[in-house]
Amino acid sequence: MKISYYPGCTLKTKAKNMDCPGVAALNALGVELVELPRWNCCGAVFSLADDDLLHLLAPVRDLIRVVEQGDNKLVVACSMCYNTLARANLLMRENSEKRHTINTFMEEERDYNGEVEVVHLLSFLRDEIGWEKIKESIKVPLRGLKIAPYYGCTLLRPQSVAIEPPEKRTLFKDLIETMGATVVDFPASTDCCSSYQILSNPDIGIETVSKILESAESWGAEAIVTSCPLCEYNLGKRQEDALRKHDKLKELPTFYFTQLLALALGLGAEVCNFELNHNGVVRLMESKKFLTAA
Amino acid sequence: MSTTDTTKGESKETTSGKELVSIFVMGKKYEVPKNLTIMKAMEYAGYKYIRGCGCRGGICGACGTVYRKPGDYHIYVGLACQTVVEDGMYLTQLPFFPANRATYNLEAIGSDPEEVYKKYPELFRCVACNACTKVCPMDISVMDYISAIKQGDFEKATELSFDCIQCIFPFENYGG
Amino acid sequence: MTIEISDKTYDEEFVKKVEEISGENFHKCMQCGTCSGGCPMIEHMDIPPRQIMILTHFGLKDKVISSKTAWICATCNACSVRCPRGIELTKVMEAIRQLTLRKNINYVEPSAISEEIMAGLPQIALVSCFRKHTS
Repeated sequence: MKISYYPGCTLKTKAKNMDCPGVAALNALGVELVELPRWNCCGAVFSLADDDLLHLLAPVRDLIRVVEQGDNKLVVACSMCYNTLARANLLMRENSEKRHTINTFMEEERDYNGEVEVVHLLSFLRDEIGWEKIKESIKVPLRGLKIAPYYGCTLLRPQSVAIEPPEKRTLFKDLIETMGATVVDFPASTDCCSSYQILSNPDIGIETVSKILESAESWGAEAIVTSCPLCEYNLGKRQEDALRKHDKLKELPTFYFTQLLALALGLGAEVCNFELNHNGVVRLMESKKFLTAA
Repeated sequence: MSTTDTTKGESKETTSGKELVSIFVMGKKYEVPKNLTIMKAMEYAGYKYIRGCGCRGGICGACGTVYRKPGDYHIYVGLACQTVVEDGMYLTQLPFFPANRATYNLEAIGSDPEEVYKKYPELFRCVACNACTKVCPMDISVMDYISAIKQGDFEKATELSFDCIQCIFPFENYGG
Repeated sequence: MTIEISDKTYDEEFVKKVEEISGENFHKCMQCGTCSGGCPMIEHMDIPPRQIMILTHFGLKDKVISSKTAWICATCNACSVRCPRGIELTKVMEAIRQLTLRKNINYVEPSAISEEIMAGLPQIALVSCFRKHTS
């Protein structure tokens, strides 16, 4: 099976460790993620001002590229890109007045009416591949690893694009259990990681991150898994800042779900780009003997 | 239609047999032979380039010109030395404005995408409106190569932007 | 805190602008405080989101615009999904930010970010931050 894939700018550079294992894992499951031949930055955040259509152009252009490919489904791995593309898609479907204005403005493009279905990679794993099939393909069960699933904001809010009902969320849990690991559900699982405030107000950002780490640790997590490169940056790469500020915090490795999946499928550390992770990721994986087992 | 469009000049034959078209420069109408470039047409009309006209060969980009056509809402951009005049063309020469140009030593900084991000953080304000591609006098897919840089794909960015003549820079070199 | 509310303090144009940009009817707010209770940034804000709603309703422009609350909001939507009146507070916060940004005033200045910080940040951090905090 082939499916159109939107990686997003960050996954092509800083978060190759999310992109590469994702593509490899899906390949092992018999799905070829085909990157759109021409795409642009989606804008990362959905435009919330009612009179601002300019910022909808970028995500709509990407959706037009999918139609140009003769496809009607787009798989997105990055949570922020998913949220932006999915909301722009809904608006193009439901608001005929704005749709007309946007289509008229982009005279160089074909008209777009929301034909494409925007799907997050996690939903794709559940709905199109299925946990049973994934379970059968697991070569290195991540037995004994206690993982805290971190959803963040953009997978679950607002409701119109939520990948599952926030109060009955099971996607990460099902994936973690399918890979043979143990789920540590923790209260801060859907809290905000401070997002772009890490740049605008770094001190506030680090405080927010510290609370999430503390929550995950107090519930006994050994690792955090996420699907957003900005969450990973805040919780992972900026964890040092949090540890420096709060003595009681311990190092807590953060992973992308694609890395754990690739590892569990027996694809080895080579496709995981662990060097782009921080804080003891390889140490933890070695101590659990997940790297030598493949 | 029997009405006369006042903005559109009528083509005329001169005594020498050359066909004339009307162009507007800074609001004033001139009759110039068709098939001339904008630059030559302006000289025909009596303008004299003292400095800043550039290479006249479509390479340096000094003669960027904005124009409109009658009955067309688009704003067009072209090089005056390359674009042939059309009847009713309304011309405006680009005024001097300095580009934001970073100073760096190419050999020292290497080829990490981050190096570009450091020099030009405004890259990340791009909204993909595509206005850049539409105005490029060299028909470069500017939006696409900016996207490629944001995606860290220098090879694609280089290929797409290869024909760029840096038309904003010579304005500085020629002092406007 | 005593707040004077009269026809002299009511800025009708401000209220209309926030209505127009947000597209939200924040007058429906019943001041239950669910938004403030669930806000992950509340401790860093000078005015809680619940109060921003009532101050905006009463057209107290200066208080709302000078508050840092809208700039601390990270648009996580925790408030919007919980609001029993169905108000998308994140859109109201966006409108409040836009009133400043549309005067060509930046909250974050891209050229002032150090090269070290620029080099480390993922693209989505830069794109989202510039979208929310530059004009």
